[in-house]
Amino acid sequence: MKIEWSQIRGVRVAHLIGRLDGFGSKVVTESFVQIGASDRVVLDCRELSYLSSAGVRDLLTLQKRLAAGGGAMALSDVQPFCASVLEMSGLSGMIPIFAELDAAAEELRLHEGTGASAEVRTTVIGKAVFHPIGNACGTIDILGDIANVIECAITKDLVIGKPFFETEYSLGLGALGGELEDYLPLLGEAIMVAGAMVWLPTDGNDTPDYMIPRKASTRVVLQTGFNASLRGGFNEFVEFTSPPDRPASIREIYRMLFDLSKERRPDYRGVLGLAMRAEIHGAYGAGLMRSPLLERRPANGKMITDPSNYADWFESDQAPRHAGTTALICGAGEDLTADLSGVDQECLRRMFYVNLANQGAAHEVLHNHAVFFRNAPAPRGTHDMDVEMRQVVELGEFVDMRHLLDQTTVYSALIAVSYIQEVREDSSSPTG
Amino acid sequence: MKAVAEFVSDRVELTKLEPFTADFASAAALSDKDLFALQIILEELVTNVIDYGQIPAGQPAAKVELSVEDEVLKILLTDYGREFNPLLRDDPDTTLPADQRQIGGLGIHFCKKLTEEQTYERRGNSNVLLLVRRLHP
Repeated sequence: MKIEWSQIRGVRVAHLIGRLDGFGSKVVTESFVQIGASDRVVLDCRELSYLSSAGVRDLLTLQKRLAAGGGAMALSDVQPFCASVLEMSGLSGMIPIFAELDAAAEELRLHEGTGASAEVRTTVIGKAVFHPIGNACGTIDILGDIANVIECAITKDLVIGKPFFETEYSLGLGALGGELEDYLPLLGEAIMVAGAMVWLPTDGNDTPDYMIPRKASTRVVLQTGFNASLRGGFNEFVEFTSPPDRPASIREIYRMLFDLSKERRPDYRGVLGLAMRAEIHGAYGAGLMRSPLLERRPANGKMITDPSNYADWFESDQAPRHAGTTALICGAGEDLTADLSGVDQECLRRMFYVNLANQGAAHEVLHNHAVFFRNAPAPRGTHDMDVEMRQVVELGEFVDMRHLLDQTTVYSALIAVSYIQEVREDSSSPTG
Repeated sequence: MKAVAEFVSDRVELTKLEPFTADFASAAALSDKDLFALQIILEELVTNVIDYGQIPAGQPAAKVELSVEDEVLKILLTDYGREFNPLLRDDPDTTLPADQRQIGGLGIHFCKKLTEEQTYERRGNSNVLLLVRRLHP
C-alpha cells in the first residue's frame, strides 16, 4: 500500500496504490493524519486493487472527521472489486463517488465549507440550516401582468417573446411555437430552471412539454403573456428537514422563512424569491386548462378565478400526488404581515393573485411552479442551486410540471433564498 | 478440487492469502466474482483470528480448507483462538449516515453477504466456521 499526493484545481488528491487491507490500513492511518478536518480531498482509487473492511473503516473514520470539521471528501475511479466492497458496506451512498478524478476535484472545488458560517434554526416545522452564499441584490423582473391571465384578457399584442437564458429561474404563462396562431391558443403554465424549460400546453392533453436547449447558441424564445424571473442571484442556501412523521407544507416553509427573515435580515422587504429542490410527500398541483384569451372571456364577465368560473378554467388536485418524487420549484412569496412599502406595489400586483385552491392563505400570497422527477440522485451538498438542480434534470426521470399549491407537503428541501429588494419591469431585451 | 493452508499468529501471514486464493481460483476455474468473494472472506476471517484470537505470536492460529464441488464453494476455517461465534454478532446498520455509523463488525457482515450458508461450531479448543457459496458463472 502506497499513497502519493498531488493537487488538482486547488483540491488535494491522495492516490491510493495497492491493497487497502489490514496491512494497508496502517499506512493509510499514518498518512491520513496530514488531512485537516476542514480540507477537501479526493481519494483517487484508480490503482487501488483491493479494499477490506479495515480499509472501509479508514474511509468512514476520515469521512466522519471531515463532516465534523466542515471539510469534504470524494472517491474517484473506483475499480469493480472495491466498488462492490463499498456497496456491501453501505458506503457508496454516503461518500460521493465519481468515475473520473477531474469530476471529483471539480465537485469538491464547488463545495463550500459548512463550518462556522452556518446558522442552525430549529422551528416547529423542522430544522433549517442557513448558509450564506452571497451579497446578492435580488429582484423579481416581471413581463406582462397576471391580471391579463385571471381576467382572461390576453390578446396577441400582449404576448411577448422572452429569450431563454442558460441560468434562469422563472415562472409564468407561456408557449413555444413559431406562429402566433399556433401558440396563442396553447398558452399554459411554464417554468424555467436549471437550463430546462417546461410548459403545460392547454391543448387538452394534460401533457407537459419538456425541453433542454443543448447549446447556448440555440436561441429559444418563450412566447409569454406573463412571466416573473428571479434575477440578481441568491443570498442564502437553506437545508430544511421536517420531522419524519410530519412533513411540512410549502406554505409553512415560506411562513418560517418570512418569520425568520424579520428577525435575521435587515434587508428583508416582505418578499422572498425561492429556488427549491424538494423531496415530495404529497403534491397538490393546479393547472390552467385553457389559454386565457380575450375572445374566450367568461360570459358572466367575472375573472376566471371567480368561484363561478374556476372549475371551467382550472384543474386542481383534490388528493395529493407525486409522493416520493423530487420537485424543482421556482417561486416567490409576499408576506402580508410585513411592511411591504419598500417594494413597488403595482409590480407586486402583477405577480401575485389569490388562487382559490390555496386553502386558508390569509397571511401570505405565494406563487410557485414545479417540475417533478423520479429517481433523482441524492443532493451533492454544494450550496449551489444550479449545480443541484442540473443533476436532477440530467439524471432524474421527468414526471410532470404543475402550478404548485401551497398545501403541498415535503420531507426536506434545499432552498436558495433571495431577499427581494425590488420588483420591477423586466427590461432584458424582450423580442416582439 | 481442494486446497489447504495453515497460518501462524503473525500479521505477515496475511500476505500468504493472495497467492493462496489466486492459485486455488485458477485451479478450480473460479470466476473473478468468486475469487473476489473468497479473498474478502479469508482476509476478514484470518485477520480477525490473528488480531483478536489471543493466540501467542508465532503459534498456530488457523487452518483454511477450500473445496469446490457441484458448483459450490466451501470454506472451512478452523482456528485455535478464544471461543468466538461470529454469527452471533448483530449486523451493522449499513443504512445509517456516516456520523452515526459504528466502526466495526463489517468484516463478518461481508462474509454473510457473500455466502448463502454459515455454520459455527465450537469443537474442543477450536472454533470451526463453515461458509458455503454457490458459484457464479
